[in-house]
Amino acid sequence: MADPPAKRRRSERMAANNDDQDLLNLPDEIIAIIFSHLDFADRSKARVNRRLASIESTMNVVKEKLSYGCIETSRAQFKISCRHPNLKPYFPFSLASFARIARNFEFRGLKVVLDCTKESHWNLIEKICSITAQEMRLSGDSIQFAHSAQRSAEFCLPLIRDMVDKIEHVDINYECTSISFDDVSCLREIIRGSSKKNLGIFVTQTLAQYLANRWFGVRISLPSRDGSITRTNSAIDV
Amino acid sequence: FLFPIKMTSPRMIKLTSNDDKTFEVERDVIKQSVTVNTLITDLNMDDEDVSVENQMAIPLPNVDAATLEMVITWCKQHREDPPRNEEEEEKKEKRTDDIPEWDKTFLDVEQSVLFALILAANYMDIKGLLDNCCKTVANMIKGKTPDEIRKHFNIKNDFTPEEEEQIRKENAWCED
Repeated sequence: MADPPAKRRRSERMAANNDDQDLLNLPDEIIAIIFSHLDFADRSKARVNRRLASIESTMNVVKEKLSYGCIETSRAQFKISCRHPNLKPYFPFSLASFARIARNFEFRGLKVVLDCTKESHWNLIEKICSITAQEMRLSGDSIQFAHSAQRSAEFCLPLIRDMVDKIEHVDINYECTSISFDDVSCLREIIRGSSKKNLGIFVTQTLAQYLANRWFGVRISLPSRDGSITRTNSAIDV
Repeated sequence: FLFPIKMTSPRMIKLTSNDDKTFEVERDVIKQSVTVNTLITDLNMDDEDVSVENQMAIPLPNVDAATLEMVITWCKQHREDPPRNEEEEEKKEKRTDDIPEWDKTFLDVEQSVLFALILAANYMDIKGLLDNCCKTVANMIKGKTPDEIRKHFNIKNDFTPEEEEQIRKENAWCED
């Protein structure tokens, strides 16, 4: 086995021969590889000059989910779902930070986490439920059902109620249907009656774009219906 | 009956650095360089009838002798490594705490040497070496403030005050 310390003297000689080599001499694609090993916070801080900022801005990271959570009435947080060991998952909401994330990340979904014990969040639930789309499904246990626009009146909230009580996951995926205010009331009941404190409402496509546009003031591209990913680069309009 | 055992010496390949120094390296060692491997195959240099004395040296115009020597040392150390599955590597979590101890010590060199190694690994297409070098640089960046990063890598701040303010706002969430 070679002895690494033995190369120390050679390294010192080499350093003299390679004086012109520095980080900025590396090609963009190599710097991008280096950045890819950094978590989002460190990558953000590594934008220390124009070139590095430009390289960093071209790097997209695909994340399964972006969560927007109202932890308290006065405090909101984002959470990026990911398996990166070094990524700080929670950070406080601000338009600048959201814009920053929207610029570099691709999301497969947006999850709005609401504290169902707080009445102040019910208005938000109503807003979410008023979005129109074509189908609805419960996620988590592969329990899915869809219904057509014609059947929207038969929106099976009692069935959801049963399921919410049974399943571990409390994400409801809306892709979504038209929901009447009666339905909202029913959903509210389910939430209120549920033993789970937090009910995650996982939204995709139309709803996510709606939320991003209307509430956060930014445009964000989300996966198309077939699951392919749309890049969010340059999709920002704060 | 005893049969004479034919002792075969390992097949050697000659590499020439950009400062005209020639290195002889075992074929099995240098196979980790995709660039060299492709050249060997394309030039039919695996032909056993050609002795190393008569063999053409493979020129590496982007690598100096000292760096090439280090690259060869690394390849020797990693000759038994299983072949990398790039698809699997892509799927893996991007960690920087998994650099082997030997590599950590090996790559504990002057910055300029490390960057020369990165360029050589990139040119010679040695994914394992490139990866560990890049992780080493990433580890140098981790946990530092922008000013500390500038100081560490001697990078000049060329932002306008407006650009800097924008970045400061965007980074506000990740400041401790």
